[in-house]
Amino acid sequence: MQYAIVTDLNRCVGCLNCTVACKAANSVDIGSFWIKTLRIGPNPKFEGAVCPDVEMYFLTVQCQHCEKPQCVEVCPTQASHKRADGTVQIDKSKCIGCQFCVMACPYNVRYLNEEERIVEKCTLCEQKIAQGELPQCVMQCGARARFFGDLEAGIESFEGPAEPSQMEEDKSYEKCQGERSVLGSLLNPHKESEVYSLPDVGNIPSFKFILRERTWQGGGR
Amino acid sequence: MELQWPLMFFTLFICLGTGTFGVAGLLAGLNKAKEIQIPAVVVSLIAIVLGGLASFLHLEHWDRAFNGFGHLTSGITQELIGIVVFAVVAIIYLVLARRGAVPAWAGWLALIVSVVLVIIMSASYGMSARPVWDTPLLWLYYLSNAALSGALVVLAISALAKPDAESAKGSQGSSAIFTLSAKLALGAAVLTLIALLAYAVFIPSLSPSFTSVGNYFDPTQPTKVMDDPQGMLSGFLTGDQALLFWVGALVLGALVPGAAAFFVTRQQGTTAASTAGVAALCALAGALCFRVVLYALGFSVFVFY
Repeated sequence: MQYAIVTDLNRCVGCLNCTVACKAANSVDIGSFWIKTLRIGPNPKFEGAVCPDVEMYFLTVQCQHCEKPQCVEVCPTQASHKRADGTVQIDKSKCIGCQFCVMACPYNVRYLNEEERIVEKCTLCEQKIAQGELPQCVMQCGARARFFGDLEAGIESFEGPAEPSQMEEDKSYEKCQGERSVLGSLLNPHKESEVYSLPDVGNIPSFKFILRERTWQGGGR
Repeated sequence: MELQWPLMFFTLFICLGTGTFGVAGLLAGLNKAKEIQIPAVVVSLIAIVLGGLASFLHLEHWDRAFNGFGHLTSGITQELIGIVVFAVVAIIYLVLARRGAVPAWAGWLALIVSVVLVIIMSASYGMSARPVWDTPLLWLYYLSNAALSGALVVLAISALAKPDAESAKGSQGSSAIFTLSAKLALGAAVLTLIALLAYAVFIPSLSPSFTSVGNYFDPTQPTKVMDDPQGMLSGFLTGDQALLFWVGALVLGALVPGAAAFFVTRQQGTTAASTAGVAALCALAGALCFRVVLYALGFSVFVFY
């Protein structure tokens, strides 16, 4: 099992709902973030192109809950560990604050919590997914661009909250939040070559990004 | 990456301690330098203890350090095991030195333990996320650091040492040890210079290892200038890090100690010891300068978070 999130970058509008919802759900300190939304671009559509021949998209970045997490490998106390569901978690009672995991992470998503003096990062809302709920960044995605699921079951099976257009009668916010939509049936079709990951330096990031008709700028594949 | 001073001093003191013990061990392995053994091992152990204290200062929760410590794939665990083994060997070595001559096997063991500890320490920074650290050049640099600072410490001790009555009968008097230590220091300075020049070529070549996304904007840091790792790497020889690299690491850390090791053989006694001591301090200061450069350029492959 390998829980992960897939983000459709053609749908993401950069509303920062995921960033804000995460902070609220996980009490993330002021100035710290477990997920950020970067604007990538505007970049030229082709070499030498100038405005208006430019393109951009938004890229959500957080812990990628890697298949072979380097942060886990370097942790001297096994505070950073990989769970059976594939998520990478930190046992705060074991963390000695050596910050080698911060150095070993290719994406800079770990940081030292100055108050508790331990390292923190995205937990993929462990407290919610353990009860069958969706991570808060997926639940609150303003564009229905984010989907959560088990990578081993294929990304087509990933789920997000329902979209009003899919609802027959009650299209209320509450009703949509209570139902699920499936990536394979909600999103526009995509090719396998349009599914990307952040750069891989042997850690094998689990999160995927779908980007159509744009040039992927995030490194990796 | 922000500077981690405790870790920089940790690696510096480990290099000093292993270098001093390793050079003393080499001389003992060659059946030389009986009179410098005890002060050299004492200096080495003091340096290792200081290194250990520096590493503890880095830990935010050192009180939990032994609560579950021992994950073997962790460089920190490997370093701890290496330091414990080193300390045990050094204490046995000290006992042997106090009893009389250090046997040759103990000398070679001291050299091996010292080299292994430096390699373990270097390997703990070999993280694929940070290409500037993830190279055997770091091993070479730290080994040359250890050899240079250690040889200069032994050189200073041998300049002050009174010839041992037994060894003075033969050709292995303290002047011979002094000359040999100077040669070792000169060789280590050349090795440091080679490691630094290799790094000067290597670092700019790393640009393709870092992700480029063109223009970007982080709304959580709206006024922050865009990071440009490629630009910093390709321009590090002439940019912000140039002074630290050329004057600090290269001139102060390699050329000055090398020149001192070359000319010190024309001096004697306290003058020679002072020259060697100052050269050792220069070597350590230069080594610290390059550690600052390594941290400043120790970006991860994806820097935009």
